[in-house]
Amino acid sequence: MKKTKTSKKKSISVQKNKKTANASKLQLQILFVLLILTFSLSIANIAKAQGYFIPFISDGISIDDNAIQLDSLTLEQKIGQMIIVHGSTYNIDEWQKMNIGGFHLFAMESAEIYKATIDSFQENSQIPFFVTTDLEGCQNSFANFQEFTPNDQITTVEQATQKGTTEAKFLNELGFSINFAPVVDLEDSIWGCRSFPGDQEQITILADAYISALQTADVSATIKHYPGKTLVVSDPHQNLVTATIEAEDIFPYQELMSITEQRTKQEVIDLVMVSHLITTGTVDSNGLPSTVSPSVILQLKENYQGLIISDDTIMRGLLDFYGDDTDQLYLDLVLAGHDLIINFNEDPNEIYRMIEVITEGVEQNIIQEAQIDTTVTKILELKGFIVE
Amino acid sequence: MPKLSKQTLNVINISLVLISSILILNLFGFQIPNLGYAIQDAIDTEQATCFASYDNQASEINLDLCCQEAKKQLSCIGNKQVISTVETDVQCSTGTTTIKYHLTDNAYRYCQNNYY
Repeated sequence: MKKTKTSKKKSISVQKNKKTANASKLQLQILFVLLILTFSLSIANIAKAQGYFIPFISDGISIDDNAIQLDSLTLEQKIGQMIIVHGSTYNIDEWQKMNIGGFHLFAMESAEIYKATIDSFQENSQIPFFVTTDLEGCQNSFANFQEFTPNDQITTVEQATQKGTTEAKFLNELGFSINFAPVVDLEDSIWGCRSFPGDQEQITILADAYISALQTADVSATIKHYPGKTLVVSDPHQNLVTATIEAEDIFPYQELMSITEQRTKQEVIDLVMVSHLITTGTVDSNGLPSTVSPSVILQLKENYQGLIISDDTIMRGLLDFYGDDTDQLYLDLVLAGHDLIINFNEDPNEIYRMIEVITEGVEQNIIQEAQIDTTVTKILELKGFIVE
Repeated sequence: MPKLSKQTLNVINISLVLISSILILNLFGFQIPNLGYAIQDAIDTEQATCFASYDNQASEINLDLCCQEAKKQLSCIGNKQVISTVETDVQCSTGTTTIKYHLTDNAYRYCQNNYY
């Protein structure tokens, strides 16, 4: 009896040891599989961060001398042209791959660094990038090595012309093609220096002189921020604010966008930037931020053939309005009528996703391809191409 | 190879499963909430405030606008200043004669955590 109990105990013990050995062997196998999986996923994440998942979409464009075949651009290439990104140098390859329309530079240490950066962007680009900046005067990305006169100190046409001439020469030498200036808001009670002094007529005259000097020297100007009141209405605790627009607020825009006896088509402002303000009154955004309001932009387009550009679209206020649904935001920006969209998201994968979302919008007939063609034609013409 | 106990193997395997899950989420673009920042925001009750100053005048501006402009400046440095009874901690600027932005620590963190 004792012998049977002992041998039974031994048998159970041996079985337990076998099970323990098998469990350990299984755990080791699981460990091995998980290590390979983790390693593979790490490599995939690194590849994604480096932009390897972004395909090369800037091939196959037909350019002969100065003439470009619009039909030779794919839909993705056309949409890429509509986007202005932040010109971070570690993403140059990705921006070139995506045929991005332009890049914006923030403050840098010196003129030499600016030149080198712009040259490295433009070097291998079939279609040159727009190179943009915010040079207003008291808002000045070059202030560490070059100062310019703020708008509030400009009181005569001669001064405005001189300011435009000086800034255009400076920007040309560095390689910039667009200045997001001048501000034509009637009043600046927030910063105190960004608006020209005077009433709407005086402001329009000064802005006109500045724009003429800038654009004569082949630097495109941008009047902002349509429809006005962006430098007076500020609630520190609200990211999106509402303002009532009066007739005088849009007077500068109406004048500067019009072809008249004194202002030829070439002298009309090249770009108009639209703000995120929710507006009522003379310009009613119907409860939407102006930048995604079709009624606001359609009103602009009634008498204006230049480019309409959004303010930066990754601002928290706009994203909160959309509940972080960036897909719908991207579609609405195009549906509202923008020609150029600023997106300073530093992740090139997100910019590529934006292109894909809009592409899908066209393929599903939510956005008309004819609209994209008209927009891209205007963009390429401003870049100096003859579009065929 | 050193022998690992069953318990150790379990811990390692569970850790690898968690790491792989996070990597998969990141690969497909899902945002993973930052627990550290959430805890810090809950503990730190200081108001996130930003001022824009020019020519000795300062105005409080909303954070969105502040973050948008501050990120375009050449540098942001630690510089404690009292503006309208608020102690700011960070100054972002490019030149001596252009607009400067003064942020509290909370405001600076907000800018860093929100696309800026």
